[in-house]
Amino acid sequence: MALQSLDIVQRSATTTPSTQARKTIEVAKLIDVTTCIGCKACQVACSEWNDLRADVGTCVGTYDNPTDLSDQAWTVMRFSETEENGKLEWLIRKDGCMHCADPGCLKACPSPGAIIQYANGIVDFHQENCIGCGYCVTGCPFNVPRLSKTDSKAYKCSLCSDRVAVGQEPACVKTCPTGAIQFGSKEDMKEVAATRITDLKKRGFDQAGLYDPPGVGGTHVMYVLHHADKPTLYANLPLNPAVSAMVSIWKGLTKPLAIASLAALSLGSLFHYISKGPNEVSKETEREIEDEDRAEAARKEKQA
Amino acid sequence: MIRDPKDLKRYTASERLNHWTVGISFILLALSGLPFFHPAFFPFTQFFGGPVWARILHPYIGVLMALAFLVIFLRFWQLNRLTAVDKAWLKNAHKMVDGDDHDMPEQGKYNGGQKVMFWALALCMALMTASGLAIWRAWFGFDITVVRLGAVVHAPTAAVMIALIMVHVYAAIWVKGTVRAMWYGTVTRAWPSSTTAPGTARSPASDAQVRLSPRIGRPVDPPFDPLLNQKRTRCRPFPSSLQPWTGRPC
Repeated sequence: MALQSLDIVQRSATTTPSTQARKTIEVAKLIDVTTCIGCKACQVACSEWNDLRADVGTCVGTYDNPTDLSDQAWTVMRFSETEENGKLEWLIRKDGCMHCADPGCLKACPSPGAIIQYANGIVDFHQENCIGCGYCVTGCPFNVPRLSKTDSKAYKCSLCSDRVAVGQEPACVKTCPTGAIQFGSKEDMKEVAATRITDLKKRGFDQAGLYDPPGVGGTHVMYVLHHADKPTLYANLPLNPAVSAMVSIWKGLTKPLAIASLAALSLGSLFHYISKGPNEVSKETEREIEDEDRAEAARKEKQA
Repeated sequence: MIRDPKDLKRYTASERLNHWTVGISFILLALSGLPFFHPAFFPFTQFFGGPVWARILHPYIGVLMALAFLVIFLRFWQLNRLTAVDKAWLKNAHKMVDGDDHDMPEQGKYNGGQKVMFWALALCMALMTASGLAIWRAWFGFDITVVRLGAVVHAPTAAVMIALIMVHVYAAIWVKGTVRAMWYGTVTRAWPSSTTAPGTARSPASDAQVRLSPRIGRPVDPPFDPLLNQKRTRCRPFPSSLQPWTGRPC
């Protein structure tokens, strides 16, 4: 939910610039997948802080529960079993909104102010303005937003914008028992990640690295991965995420092109009418028909 | 109501109701759909009780239009088959737009331009329906690629369709005596392209429907006709397939 005490730098379906005067630091949440033990304390903290209650659900053969994000589950742990370097690996990724610098949801959203980006980088949904079209789902390269079946509004992780606004870290960060989730300025988080990556490389994870995909301008939720070269191992985390070309054409080129064409056509029609005049039946034709009518009448009279 | 018993009947009441159903649903769809395309049109959602209602209603109106359009399509597609005469008409269309319609060939119920419009709108309607269903989240949950394809097809096709309808409406305004066919179903005897051709073109409103496209002007000087290798007279007979030739001299 949106909290207006943060400066909004980008606003959905708005063609004029939003607040740009105050410069704040960009924040980021760093999720160190290599330190995560899959306890789901973050899921519980999220549910507690945001007053969400997902259905209890059933066991589907993995530890995933809830099995997917929903309006009642803004973050879920995804467990993947894989074999790397001849060893079984149990990869656990905390899934949720990545808070892209170039958010596809915001680009696609047709409702003014339903999706906003704060100066600190958090992308937030303002359900008050949400119309329930689901365009954010269409625009998101990470498949994160979910439409509620009860109110048709879209929901996703807010990065606890309400907590961050008052100087606190997100609920998931606060509760993580292993320190796998950290929060701070994006710059600091990158440094923390670099230290950890060096450490991992020393331990034999040559491909360890930071997941901060440039295709979406970088994200404000970043992962430290043991296999940064193969993010898809982690429950299909996309390798090179970017806003789909189809979404870019739909929300980019089409808009000015269509509006200019329709405007030109309306004006063109008006100018055509004014310059060429209407296409009317000539007086001559009308007279001809009248003459024929008269002749016909005369003939009938004669017969009578 | 028949305003003048000598008027020519072009459309039945059922055809007119069908056309108005399509027309009204089109206007409602444009007004409720444009806000989701560009924020400049967002205030239009107020006509529908706010943006959420516009989002809810838009696809249902779309279903109505698709069905009504389908009925129109089945009614008129045979009359809209393109022929060689239509190609000749289209070749000269730019002269007609420029205000000189001396060279326009005689046509059936619809001229080449109207036929192209018919098929273009039918294609747009098919694309709009398919892509619209793909992005209708209240009832469907297609794969994300299908939804994205639906979105990228729906918006530009809608723009093309709005442009086509603008041409359609302007043509009706430009060619005087056309709009009344939409209201009353009749046109004057002077309206069709060959007022002097005998047969059904001259039959009163109670008779068979007029089988002629809008008049496209009267030549001041009969132009040279390469087919007949002579000066074309204004009362050149209608194609025999459409008009029984009564042998009346020009």
